Amino acid sequence: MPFIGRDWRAPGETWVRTPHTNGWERTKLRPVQMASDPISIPQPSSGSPCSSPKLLYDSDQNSSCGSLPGSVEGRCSSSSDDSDSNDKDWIPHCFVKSTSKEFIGCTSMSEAFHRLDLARAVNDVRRFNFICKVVQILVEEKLPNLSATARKSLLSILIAICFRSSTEDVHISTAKELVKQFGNGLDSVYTCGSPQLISKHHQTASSLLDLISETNVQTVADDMADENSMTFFDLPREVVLLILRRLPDHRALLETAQVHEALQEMIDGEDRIWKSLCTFHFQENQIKNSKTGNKTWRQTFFDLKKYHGCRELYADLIHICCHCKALFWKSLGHPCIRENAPSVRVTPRQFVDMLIYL
Amino acid sequence: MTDAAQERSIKLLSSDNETFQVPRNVIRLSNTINTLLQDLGLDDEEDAGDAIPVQNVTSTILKKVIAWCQHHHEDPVAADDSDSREKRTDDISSWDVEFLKVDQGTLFELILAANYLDIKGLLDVSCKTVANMIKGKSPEEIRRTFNIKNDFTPEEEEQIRKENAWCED
Amino acid sequence: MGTPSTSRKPDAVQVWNDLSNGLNSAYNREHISSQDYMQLYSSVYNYCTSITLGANSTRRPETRNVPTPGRANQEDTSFMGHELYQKLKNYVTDYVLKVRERGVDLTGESLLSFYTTEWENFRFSSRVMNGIFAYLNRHWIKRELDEGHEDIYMIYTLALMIWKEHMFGGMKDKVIDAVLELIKKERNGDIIRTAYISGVVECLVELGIDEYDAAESAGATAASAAQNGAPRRNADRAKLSVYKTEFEKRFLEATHDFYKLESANFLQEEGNITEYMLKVEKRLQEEDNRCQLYLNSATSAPLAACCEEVLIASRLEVFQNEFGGLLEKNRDEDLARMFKLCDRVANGLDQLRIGLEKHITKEGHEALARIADGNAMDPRVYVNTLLEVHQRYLKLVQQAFGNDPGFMQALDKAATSFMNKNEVTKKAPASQQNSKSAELLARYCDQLLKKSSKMPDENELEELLNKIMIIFKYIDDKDVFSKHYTKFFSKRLINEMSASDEAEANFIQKLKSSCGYEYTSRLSKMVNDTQVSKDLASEFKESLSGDKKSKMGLEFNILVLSSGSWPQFPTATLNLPNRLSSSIEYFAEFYNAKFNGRRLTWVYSQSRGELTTHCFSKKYVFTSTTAQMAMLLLFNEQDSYTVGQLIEATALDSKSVPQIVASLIKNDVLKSDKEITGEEVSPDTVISLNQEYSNKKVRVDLSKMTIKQDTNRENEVVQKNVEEDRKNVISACIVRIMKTRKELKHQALMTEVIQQLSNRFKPKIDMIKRSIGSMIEKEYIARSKDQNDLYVYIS
Repeated sequence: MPFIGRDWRAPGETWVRTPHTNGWERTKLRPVQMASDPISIPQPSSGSPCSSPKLLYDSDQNSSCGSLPGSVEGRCSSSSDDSDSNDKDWIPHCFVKSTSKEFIGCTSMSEAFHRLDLARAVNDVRRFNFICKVVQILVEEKLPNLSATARKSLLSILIAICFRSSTEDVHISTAKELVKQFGNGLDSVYTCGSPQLISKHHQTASSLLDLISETNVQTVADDMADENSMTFFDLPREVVLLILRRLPDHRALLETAQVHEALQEMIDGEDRIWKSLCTFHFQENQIKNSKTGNKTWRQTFFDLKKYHGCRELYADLIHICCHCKALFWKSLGHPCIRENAPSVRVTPRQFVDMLIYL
Repeated sequence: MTDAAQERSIKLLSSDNETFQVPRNVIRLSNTINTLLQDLGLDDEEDAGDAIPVQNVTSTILKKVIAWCQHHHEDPVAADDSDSREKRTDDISSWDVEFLKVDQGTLFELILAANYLDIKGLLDVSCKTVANMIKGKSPEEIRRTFNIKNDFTPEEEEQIRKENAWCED
Repeated sequence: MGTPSTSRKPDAVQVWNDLSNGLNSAYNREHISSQDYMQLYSSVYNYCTSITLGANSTRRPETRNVPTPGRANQEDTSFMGHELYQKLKNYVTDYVLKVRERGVDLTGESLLSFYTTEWENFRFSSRVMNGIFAYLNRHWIKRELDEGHEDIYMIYTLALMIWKEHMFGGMKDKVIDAVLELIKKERNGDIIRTAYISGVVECLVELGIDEYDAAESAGATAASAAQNGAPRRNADRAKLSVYKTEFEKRFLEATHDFYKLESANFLQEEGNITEYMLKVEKRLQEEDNRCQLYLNSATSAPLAACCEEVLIASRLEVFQNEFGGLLEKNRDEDLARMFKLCDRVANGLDQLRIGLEKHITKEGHEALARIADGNAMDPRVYVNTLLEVHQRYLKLVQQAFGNDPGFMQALDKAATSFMNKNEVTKKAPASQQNSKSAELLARYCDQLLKKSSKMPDENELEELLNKIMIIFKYIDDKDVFSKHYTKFFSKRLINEMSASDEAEANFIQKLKSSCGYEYTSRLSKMVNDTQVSKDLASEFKESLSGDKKSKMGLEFNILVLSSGSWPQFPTATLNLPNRLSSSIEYFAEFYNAKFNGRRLTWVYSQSRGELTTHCFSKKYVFTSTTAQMAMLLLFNEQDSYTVGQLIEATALDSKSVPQIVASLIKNDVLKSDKEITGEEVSPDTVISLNQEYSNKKVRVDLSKMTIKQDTNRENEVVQKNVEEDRKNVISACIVRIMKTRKELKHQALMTEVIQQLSNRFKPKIDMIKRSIGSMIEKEYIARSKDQNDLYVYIS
């Protein structure tokens, strides 16, 4: 058999020189970079539906400054930039390379983020929590390990998260927390990349923080406009209770209790809220062992949490195909040679462990 | 119920006196209306008679509610009504996400309408949407979102924070 | 909220006024339009949702004046729900009490009519009420249930509870009396309005509702109940406790009393079992229909049990008494009915089984007694009589008694009894009584399998053989059968009298599958021997060179049989004529060359030969035994001999010579100068050839005359052999058992032996004891030193 080089299947990386960074980029990751590439984005004038807050463009349009990208949505709408996504039927998936049976495999982080379309997936409520968790692990623990390219990928996801948070007024604190962590991480001595790049990332982070805070003000202002429309406090008690019962963890409940006396009274007084939290996070027999005598459900919950930890549930999450070793979103599936090939779930932690920080 | 009965149209009258024609098997998602039709034996009658007044719901909201029912009336009935389904706030179909991209006032009106008409699915998904607006925020951010005035004194706030910190451990 | 109706807290008094007006029209069965309905629903909704978080907030300060804003909300809602719930409860209670008032003087059907109508109305109205108060169900009541409050029910359940307490509790006795009265009427043949009963029954079933609704798991149930508008009757869930305790118990009692009386009267007046059974069958069917038609199907089983108890179980004696009579009269249809009825109650069939066994035994004996006077020893008549009785009752068991194993067993027991010992076997000599049946059966087999003029065709034969096997199954002394069968079989083989080899093999196969390989191994060996020797004979013929062939000068055929497998043949000495002895020499030479070391014994008694005579007026061919031949050939030398000379010449013993001579004289071939009677013949009697012999036939069989022997004596021989064999078999069995068990108590050993030998014969107890004794003597086993009744195997 004639010798077949590695390039037969996986052609060597092609690199291109990009003007704005004055450096080299891997061609196949271009689409990812372009999302955070101020020069390549079409400005709002070019017909992008996105109305990014003007504030971000206050600093000049020069490439050396940390101006924010023309939104993630901008990138989404101009899918012609994306060589891989040209095909409308393209389903995000990413193969892992494996060298042995014991080791599931690994893949480059930038590539995985790109091929799994994380930046766009952020806008899907079903996938948002999963991605947040991945980003959280990365910013909290892995930031010093990331290569500059990988960090750029991470930042692009962060940007997407912040955009969603600010436009839809959800998960503000979560987003803030992530950006703050990211910013703090940059100060480490181990951070990779040129000083210019680091400072650029710093600037991006701080403008993201501004973005989140500012949008919030905006929403409130909108609401104030209509005096007659209904407000949260106009809801009947039972309905508020229904909403509180849908909060999936104790943190959200405790934060809510601090909002207003009436809410605090409800969260303290309605043990049913805590009961449903217990039944959600713990097994029946666990609860039976812990709930004794006059112990409130609230107390029971915290006792149980100490022993067993909370349950993590995601509406959608990444799976790995046992047959072709592709990572993919469970709800989207992936093109596989075998039909109905079995697959197993990948937790955010496991997903991070599969990444090579390139 | 016969198939013919399922095919029939039911007339609903909004609080601002607008009449809506809704297929019987779409409106069955509203337990309130469904029970009414069954209890009064209106399913067996040729002519359902006058429009059913839905006096707590305005035409704007009723239109949206009917649209939701129309889209969901063929959904399989979710068997478990457990906390696990209730608490998975991210488990909202993308159609519903788009559907509920409305201003807060409308969202709350929808919740009330769903509660009034006893439409379990709509109530669930709209409550989840509100829950998502609460989750992952600080108290101050929540207040801002819902335009709630802080009625705690700074001392009280400090006190609560301490209590919560104790809980956390 | 956008609508004005909810912008302020509704006035509780006003709200309740509206609601009670609505409830009035609901409970008075006035027409409720969907507008009214929604109006009422909305009132409840608005009332319940009037408390908001913001009710005390700055935006709507005028709506609340509670001193500690916000903190009282929970109590407030709870209070509002409670208030509404209590009012509702009082309202329904009042209504129900008023209804009861109206019905308090009613009885009988008018009461039922009243009760069912009111119930139907109440149910409908309560369902509407449940719909109107759905919001209370969904929130306040659900919450109370979640928190485990007792005495709080979903609205519809509440209504049922109130009905149960005040309406049903107050008049249940009268209502149920009326229902039972109505059912009694129907049982007596009147036509009734069953709708009354089914109405009450449905009511009773639905009143069982609280049992699961108020249970711990109220959450889930309540949710589904609210979803359905009203808790619908759910077959899986419905607890029938109210129905069972309040109605079913009394109903069953009434049923019991009714049928007790009825059956007593019926049996007294009519006394005819056939009629009674028809009646019972009809009643059971009626009661089952009643259950399906207007009672709850759960009653089906207890009701049937009750009826069966009264109508059948307590009358079993009557059935048993009549059973024999029905058998006697061959009333198969009635018998089948009786079986079906008695089969429904516990132990109902036991006595019938015993009765059947007795009856069949009696019938069997009677049938045999009838033939015992005639030609009882004719095997065909005997076997057919046995079969007839068996077939008759087998059919009965199969058709009327549904092949019930117990009845089959009764038949088997009875058949074993009359087939082994009966009037016919009693005619046999005492020592043979037990085994007479086996012998007759074996004889019948011989008749069937022997060449004869009236041979049955293949299928017929197969059927007959199958029937023989049925009887064979019941024969105790299978070893006796085997002995006789072997005897007849050997005769058939040696004389080539078998009608068909196939049929023979077929029957052996049947025996084998019934009794095992061991039982038929001897028969198989016999078949094998004849086959082998056929080959041997032809081989011998081919081996003869021309020289020897001419020297032998006669046709010669031979059967070489292994001595162990065949019955013992008498081997008398005989001086063979020269012409025959040369053939024997040649064969012996041939055989010894082929199988070195085997000993050939010549059994002349079983041999036959053909003689061609030229001395008479025409040519005859005589078939004769060897002895006859030896004697006749002597007359080639001279025309007359004295008996003494004959004995000397043939070397036969002095007893058999006169017999042979007698047989030849009877055939007129020889004649003597003195009368020959019995065995005693003086040696100087002169025997000479009868020159005037003539016969129409050319071929004459002389041998038949000699074979005629006394069957009785033969049987005695067989019996003796059997006894001898049995001793050996029992001994072998004892040793086999002891070898595996090592130690065994006396009683256990006895049972084991009897059990192991049961498919061969029934060993007599003292025979086993004797065998054990001889085994101890021979030191195969020993009595244990410690325990007298324990045997130990000595290896």
